[in-house]
Amino acid sequence: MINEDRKIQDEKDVLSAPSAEAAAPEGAIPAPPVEPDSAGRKKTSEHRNHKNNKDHQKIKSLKAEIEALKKDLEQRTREAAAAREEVETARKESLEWKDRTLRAMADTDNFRKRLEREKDEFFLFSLSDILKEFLQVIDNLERALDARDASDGFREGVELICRQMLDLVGKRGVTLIERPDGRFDPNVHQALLTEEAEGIEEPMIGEELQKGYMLNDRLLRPALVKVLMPKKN
Amino acid sequence: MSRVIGIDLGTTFSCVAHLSPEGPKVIPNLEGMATTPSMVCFTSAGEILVGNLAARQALANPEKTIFAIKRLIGNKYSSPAVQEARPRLTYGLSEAPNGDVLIRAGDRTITPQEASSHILVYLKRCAESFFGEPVTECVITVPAHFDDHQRQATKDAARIAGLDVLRVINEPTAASLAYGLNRNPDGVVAVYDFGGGTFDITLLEISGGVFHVLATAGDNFLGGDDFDQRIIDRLRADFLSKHGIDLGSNPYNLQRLKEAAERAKRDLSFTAITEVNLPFIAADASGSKHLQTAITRANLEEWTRDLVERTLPLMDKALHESGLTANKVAEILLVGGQSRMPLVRKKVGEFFGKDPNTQINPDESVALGAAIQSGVLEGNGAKDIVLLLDVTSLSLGIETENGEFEKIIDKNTTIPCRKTKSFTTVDDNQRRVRIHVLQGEGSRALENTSLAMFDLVGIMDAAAGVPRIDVTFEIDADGMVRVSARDVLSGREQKVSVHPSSGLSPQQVENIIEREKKKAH
Repeated sequence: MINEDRKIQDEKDVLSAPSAEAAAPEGAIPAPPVEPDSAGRKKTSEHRNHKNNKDHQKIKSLKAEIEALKKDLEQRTREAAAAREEVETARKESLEWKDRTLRAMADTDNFRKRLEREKDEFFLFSLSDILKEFLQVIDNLERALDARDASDGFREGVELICRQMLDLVGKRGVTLIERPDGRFDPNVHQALLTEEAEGIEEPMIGEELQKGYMLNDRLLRPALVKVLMPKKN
Repeated sequence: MSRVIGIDLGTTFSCVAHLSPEGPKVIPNLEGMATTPSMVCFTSAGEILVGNLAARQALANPEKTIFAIKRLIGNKYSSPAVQEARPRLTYGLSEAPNGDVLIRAGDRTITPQEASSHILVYLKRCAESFFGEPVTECVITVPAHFDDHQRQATKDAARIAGLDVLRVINEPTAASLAYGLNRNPDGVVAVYDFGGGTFDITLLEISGGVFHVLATAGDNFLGGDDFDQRIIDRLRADFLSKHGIDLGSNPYNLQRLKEAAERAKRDLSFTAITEVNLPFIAADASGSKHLQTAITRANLEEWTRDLVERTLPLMDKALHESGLTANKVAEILLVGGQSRMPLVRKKVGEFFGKDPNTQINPDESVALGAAIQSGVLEGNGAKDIVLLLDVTSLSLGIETENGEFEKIIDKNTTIPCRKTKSFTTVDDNQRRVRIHVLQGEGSRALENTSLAMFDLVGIMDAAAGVPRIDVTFEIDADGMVRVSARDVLSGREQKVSVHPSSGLSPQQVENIIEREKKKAH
């Protein structure tokens, strides 16, 4: 209610405010005011002076008004530029955020993939260390077998234990490295000693000193080998 | 904005890491391992093998298997570092026209930069396979005592490998970053780095996020391998006295001994006693012989105490050089695999009077720190280390009258920096001055490393001592040096970027890259 009253009050003020001067169109030179009783009246100099004075004042106030309007325009232009700048900044920021979001999404996605891969790898290769230890036991069983020429029940028993161990690691994905072509391949062989040999073009395996094994598709332990090197001329 | 990786390019092993959302992480190599042997081999078939593959065939191909490149890179053939390393190498060395050391791998002669680049190419490939996208930028670490040539040569190796080096940082600085010490209150940090083949102790001062190297000392030929060798020697001697058989005469047995020694050493860092069992290791007329013995931690400490104690005077030396006492050191970081040994931890703890930090895997901490720095440069992660500054490790200056050395930038000045000093002429109407840029601490020019030489000509005629020649040294954030000399009166100026007298010129680096590209097609 109070607001309503106030508004009305304001309107009254507005209506009553403009004088003849202020009613002139904006920016135009004001036309002389219409004097309803000018026809039959004798104009005194006093009256004229008064009128000049009035015109003067009118021009002055109009000029002031133009000045104010100019300032207002400048102010608005500045505001518009600032607003444009703000919009531009916001636009840039939004693009940057969009870029960051996309990047973060891609990162998350890649991270998820990597995590999955790491999980798989962990599953496949987490036993590497213990399997390597097992292989050493198998090596020693084989050494024991090599050291005993006689074929008897004891040897057979040890052979069975050895096979049992191999079966155990085999079930975990361990496979023996075999190279039928006899070529030395550092992907799976480790050279322990070398010897020059006739009639070969490239390094060949002379002797396998210790077996090598793969775990799934990855090297678990290289075979230790003696390498035959082509004889230098 | 591509991925940036952090690389610890070590003497024996290298490691690569990146900054993941949950912190720095090591990137495994193509065989699934955290570290890669710093070895390169050129096979007779023309293949280049790197890392484990190179290591596996090293014995079959010793003269073409290159290792310990870090001992050579950025050095002159005649330098003590190279001559000291030489007897331990299986491949040849030669001298380049500019005096740099070159590697002779069979009939091929290459620069250490190229050799090293093959290792970096492999590490880059590991990272690319890990991310599934190309990687072209890196942060690389070097020892705190590396001079400008060595730093530049390491950078060139990376360039040849197709990696832009965003920053070269000191290894101890990287380790400090891995431990988050840049967020600690200002103080002095001791980084005790005991690797496979080298020992380094560095004292760093951290103040306001800036790392100053206060002092560095070390032994280039002391490392974990020496400890293994002690165990091998002992096992071998015991077996010889017990059975009269020398296990060293058979390479396979020696290999079994070596593996057993490494395992025993590792075990004894966690347990007080370990057993070494090598059944059927030898045989004689009386039958099969087995090596079976128990080694206690006390045994190992007795056999290797002197090796650990060799690091103590080096720590004293570093402290002395920095003008500090042991109790002024706020944090101690242990880096390098050998620092896992309990005796090392005990001795270092006693020396500084406080327990060292050991939480981070000492094989990985340098690479992890490099990864943190790479993340900062990538614009990710830790915003609290926006600026990582290093300091010059050696003083820089020019040669003056009678072969004197005039320092212009003192060692341990925070970089980037710029400093000018005025000089004058010695003779009347001298028109030309030779600016000989040197690096080092000696008071005589001869005692220091020459970095570059250039002439400033066209000095206006004047009596001796009248002209003013301003010599300006400028070092950028990567530690690269630019020197200019200006005759104030005539305004004539000459500039030089340091390394024309050594290392590869940018053109040479480009040529190598081109050549490699052509080879690839």
